[in-house]
Amino acid sequence: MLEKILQKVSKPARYTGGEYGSIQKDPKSVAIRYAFCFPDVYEVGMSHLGLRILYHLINEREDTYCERVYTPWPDMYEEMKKENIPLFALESGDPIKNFDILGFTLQYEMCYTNVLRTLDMAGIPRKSADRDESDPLVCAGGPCTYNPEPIADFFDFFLIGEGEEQTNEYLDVYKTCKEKGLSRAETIKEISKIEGVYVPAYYQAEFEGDKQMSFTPLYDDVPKTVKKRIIKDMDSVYFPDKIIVPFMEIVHDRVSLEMFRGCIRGCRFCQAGYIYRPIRERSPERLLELAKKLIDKSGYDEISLVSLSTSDYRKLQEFIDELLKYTEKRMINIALPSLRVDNFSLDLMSKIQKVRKSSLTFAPEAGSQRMRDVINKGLTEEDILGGARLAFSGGYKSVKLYFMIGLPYETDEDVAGIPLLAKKVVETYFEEPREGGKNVNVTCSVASFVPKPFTPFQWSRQNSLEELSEKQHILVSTIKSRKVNINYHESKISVLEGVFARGDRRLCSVLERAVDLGCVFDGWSEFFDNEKWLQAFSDCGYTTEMFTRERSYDECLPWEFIDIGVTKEHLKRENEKAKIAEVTPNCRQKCAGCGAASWKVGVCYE
Amino acid sequence: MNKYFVKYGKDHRAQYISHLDFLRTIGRAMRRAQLPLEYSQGFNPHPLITFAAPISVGIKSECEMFCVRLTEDITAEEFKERLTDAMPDCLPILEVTKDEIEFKSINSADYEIETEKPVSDELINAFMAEPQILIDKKTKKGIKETDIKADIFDISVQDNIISATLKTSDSGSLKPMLLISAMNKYGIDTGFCRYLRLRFRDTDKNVI
Repeated sequence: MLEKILQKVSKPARYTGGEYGSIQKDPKSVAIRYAFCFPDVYEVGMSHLGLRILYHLINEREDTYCERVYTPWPDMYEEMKKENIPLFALESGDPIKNFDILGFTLQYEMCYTNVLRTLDMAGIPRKSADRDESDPLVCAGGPCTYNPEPIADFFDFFLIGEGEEQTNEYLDVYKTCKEKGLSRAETIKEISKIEGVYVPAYYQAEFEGDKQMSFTPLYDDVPKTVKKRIIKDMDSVYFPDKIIVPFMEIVHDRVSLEMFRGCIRGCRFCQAGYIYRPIRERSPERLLELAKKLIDKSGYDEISLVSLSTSDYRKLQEFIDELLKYTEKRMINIALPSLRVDNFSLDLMSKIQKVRKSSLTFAPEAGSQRMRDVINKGLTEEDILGGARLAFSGGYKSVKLYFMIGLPYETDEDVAGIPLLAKKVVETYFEEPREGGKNVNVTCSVASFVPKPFTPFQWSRQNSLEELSEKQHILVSTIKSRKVNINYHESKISVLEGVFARGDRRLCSVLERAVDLGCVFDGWSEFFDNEKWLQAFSDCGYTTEMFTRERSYDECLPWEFIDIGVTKEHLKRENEKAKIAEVTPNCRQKCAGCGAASWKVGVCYE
Repeated sequence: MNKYFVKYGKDHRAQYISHLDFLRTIGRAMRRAQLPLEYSQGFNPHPLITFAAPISVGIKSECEMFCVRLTEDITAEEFKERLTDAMPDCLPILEVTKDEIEFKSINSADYEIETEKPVSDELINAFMAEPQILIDKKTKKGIKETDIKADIFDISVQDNIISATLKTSDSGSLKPMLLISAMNKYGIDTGFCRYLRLRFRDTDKNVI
C-alpha cells in the first residue's frame, strides 16, 4: 500500500529511509522502541544537529531502537489518510502508535501544529490526559521547552535543557518501570524525579483577565522550580563520530561540528545567548579528532563549524590551521557561519575558501548606533563600515546585512537608520577608485523582532502588525538607490510566533482549534493561513494581543518556574540598561554577575 | 587504465532515488571508500563518471551500470570490496570489472512488471495485434502522441508477471510505465504495478 502511494507523492525519498549510516536493529531484540520526532519535513529535520546527536546516542544503547519520524508533506498526508496508513518510523516502517516513547524536538514555535498532526496521524490521543496504557509516552525537548506552557496539555513530560545525559537517565528509568510492569502514571512519576524533567499535569495555573496569576504544584512532593540540565564537560560528552548521509538534498547538506555551547555576547534579544549560558568550549584536540572521523565516515566534501559566534572560539586560528592540513588535500571545504566581520575573520575566510563566494553576509541587527547599544550588539558603525571596506578590497561586490525591526525602545529614526547604513556601506566601495562599481549591491534582510522568554526583553510589548507595516514603509521609502535592496519577512507569522513564545496554557485550546481548522506547516509561507488562526483565537475567546502585550516585572510569567541559572534580577538590570542604551561588556571582558556561574563551569571559571 | 565498470542494484527503498541524488550518493561513497576519483581538467572540474541508460524513479533494478576513472590503480576485486562497505544496503554493488563495456551498444532492456491484477495471454496478444499503439509521450518539445509499438521488442505474461523487452538506447527509450499506461488505455486493467529492470541487451539481443 505504501509503495502505491509513494509513486504519487512528491519526493518519495523522504519516506523510505535506508540512508547510509541509518541504524537497523531487530525490533524483537530491544526493550524500548523510541520514535524521535522532528515536527517538520525530512529535509529540514535531517539538517538538525541535535537530532543527529541524540539519534546515535540512543542507538548506542543495545536495549533501545531509536527511529526517525518527520512530518509527511501535505500531499503525503492526503494519500496516507485516504489509504488509512498510520504514521510510521523511517527505519522499520512500523506504526509509531505501538512504540514505547515518542520524543519530539521543538526548535521553533511554528512547528506546534505539526506536533498535533504527527499525533493525529499516529492515532495517539492529542492530550496527555486522554492517553491510556496502550499509548506511548510522549515527551519533548529543545529550545521551545523553555516555555512549555502553550503546549503543556499535549505532552506527558518535558526535558528541559541539554539532553545528552538526561536522555540515558530517563531511558534507564523507563526500562526499569517497564520490567516491573508499572502503569503509565507510575512510570511518569518515576521519570519526574530526574532533574530537568517537567510534568505539566503536576501543576496548576490560574488566570485572571489577560494574566496568569499563579502557578503552583498540585502535590507536596513536586518541586516549585525545574532546573535546566547542562553538560559540564564538552570534551567527554557524547558526540557521534558518524552521521546519516541522506540521498536527497537537505537544507544543511554537510558535516556539522559543534565547537562550543553558549555565547559570551549577551545580545539582549537573543534567547540562545541566555539559555545556553555559560559558554563551554570543546578542546581543539577533540574537535580535530571528531572532524577527521566525521569527514572520513560520511564522505561529505564540506564541514561546517557551528556555534553561536564562531569568532569567539579562543583557539580558532590554531584549530583552523590544523584542520586545513587535513581538509586541503582531500578537497574538503570548510564553512564558517556566524563569524563577526573583522580583519581576522576575512583573512581566515580567504584562507579557507577555495572558491570565493560572491556575497558576504553579516548581521548588524539594528541600523542606528543607539539601537545597537540598546540591544547590546557591541558593534560600532566603524566596525561595520570597516568590515565592508575589507570585503570590497577583498573582491566582494555584494554584501548582505541582517536586521530586525520592532525592537523595544525603537524610534522611527532607528528604523530609518537601516537603509541609511546600507547606503553608507555602498559608499565605502567608492572611497577608492575601483572598477565594476555598477555591480555593487547591498541587500538588507529585515526580520520582525519576537520577544522571547529568558531574555531582558521578555517583558516587552511586541509590535502590532500595523506598527510593523509602518516601519516596513519607512524602510523602503527612506532612500532610493538601485544598489540597496530591502527585503522584509511576513510579519503575521512573527506575531503568532510571539504569541506562542510567551504564551500560557490557555493557548492549548487555540492550537487544537487551529489544527482542526486545517493549520499545519505554519513555518512555510505557502501553508500559513492567518485567517484560520484568527478564527481559532476568536472561537476560543482569546486575542493575540493578550499574549503580545507588555508584562510588568511583578507579573507571574508562565515560564518562570524554570531555572536557567541566569537570574531574573540580571534580566531586569539588562532591560533597564537597554532603556538608556547602556552596553554590558561580554563575559570575557567583565563578568556581569548573571547567575550562570552557579553551574560552576565554562567561561565563569576560565 | 584505471577505468572501472560497476554494476549495481536498486532495491525497493532505493527505487525513489533520482539520478542526481544517486550522483551525489556515489560521490560520497567513493570518498568513504577512499577510492580517489579522477576529475576532468578545466575550469569546473567534475568527476569522470558515466552512466548506462539512466533509470526512471520508481523502478527497481538488478543491472544498473556506471563507469568511473580513478587516479590510482587497484584490482577490480579490491574496488568492489571497498565500495561495497561504503554503500547503503539498498544500493548493492553486484560486480566490478576493468573489462570494457560498451554502453553505447545498449539497445534494449528486459523488465519484469508485477501487476496487481492478473493479465491473460489473449489480452496481450490482442494488444500486440493492434496496427499501432498510440500514447501521449512527453518529449522535449512537449506532449506528443506517439506510436510505441515498434519499441516493444518482446512481451509475454505469466499470471501477474509481465516480461517485456523495451527499447533502451541513446536514440530513445520506452519506459515500462508508459507501456502500462498504453495497456490501460487499450482496455487492459493491470491495477497497481511494480517495476524491475533485469538486464540490458545489444542490437543482437545479447545480454550486456
